[in-house]
Amino acid sequence: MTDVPRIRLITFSAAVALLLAACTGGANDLTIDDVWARSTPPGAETAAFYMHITGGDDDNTLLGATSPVCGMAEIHETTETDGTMSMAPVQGGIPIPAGETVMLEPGGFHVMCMGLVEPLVAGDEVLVELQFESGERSTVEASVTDDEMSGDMDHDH
Amino acid sequence: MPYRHPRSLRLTGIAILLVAVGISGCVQPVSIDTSVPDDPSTTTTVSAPPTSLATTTTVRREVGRDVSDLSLPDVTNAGDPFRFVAEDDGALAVYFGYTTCPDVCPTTMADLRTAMGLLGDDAERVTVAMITVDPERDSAEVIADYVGWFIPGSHALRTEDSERLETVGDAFGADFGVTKTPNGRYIAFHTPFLYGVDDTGTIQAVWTFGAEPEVIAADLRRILDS
Repeated sequence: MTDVPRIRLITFSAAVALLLAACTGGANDLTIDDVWARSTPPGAETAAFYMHITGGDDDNTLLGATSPVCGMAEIHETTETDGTMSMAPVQGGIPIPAGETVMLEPGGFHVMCMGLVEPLVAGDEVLVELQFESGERSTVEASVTDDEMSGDMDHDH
Repeated sequence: MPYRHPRSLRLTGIAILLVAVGISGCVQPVSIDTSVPDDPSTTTTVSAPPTSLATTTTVRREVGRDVSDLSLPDVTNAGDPFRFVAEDDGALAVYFGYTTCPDVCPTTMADLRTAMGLLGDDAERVTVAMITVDPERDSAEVIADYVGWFIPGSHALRTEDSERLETVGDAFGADFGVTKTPNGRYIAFHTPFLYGVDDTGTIQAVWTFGAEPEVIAADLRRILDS
């Protein structure tokens, strides 16, 4: 794939993000921070989005996600059983208790991106829309990095 | 209080396991019974409250095993057999994974890449080999591109001979499988370990998922210096 569609996609995505940000403010006081994805090899079919979600005044549940770079996205969890790790969709979504922070991190919960449209390149920002049980839809920008993003977002990547 | 996410629990479990075992050196062969068949009870599923994640190397009975007699086709080298022996005075890092794995495999490969970066020039003496446990979906080209993107010069090992793959897996104590559900979804599982092998073909380190790159680098350096 050439760079032109990527730039168009990102530009379009950024525009959509601004629109959505203007439309969805503060319904539930959910806070979503540190959204990132690891860069992917050329030809990769999958990717994962990670983030920290802090619940608002009421209990909520992360039910699903979409992204323009994913043919399909699902809420998944990597689990360990008898020393082996496997991954499966989270039945019923991820509970986000009021006021508590739930970590979507490598080796645990993540937004699984299937049918990746194009490789994720370090430095890119990718839009992810999250759907919650409350009906709220939040669009966030995931920073693509080569290495794991720490909770401290102050440093540059 | 914050939600306890699985990785913290697992890493905490590893930390506790380490304390319980009372090890001091990470890559020294340990005297865990090597005669028993694979027993998952020595792995790291331990539930405990989160604490700090200081050291995350785990110690398993595969340390000390000789894997020098084994080989798999190296699709990055015309399918020639790749033996599990580091070059003289070198170290070999071996990983079992698959390319459509979005979470565990890229994390481990990226952590290994970071560890190699910490080794500086010594990284030239570290050979990396990734074995696909999903040869049906990972063609030779796909797995070769994958490992080469993460760490240039790495070896991609692939065989469609499931017995041969299992033999190698058994030697490393690696367990894996891929199944296809009736609705066309694939379900894969695998032990998430990264192995460090020395120039005699002896496993000298087993890193579990989440091992800090600093720990991997330190263990690789110990293998290089041994």
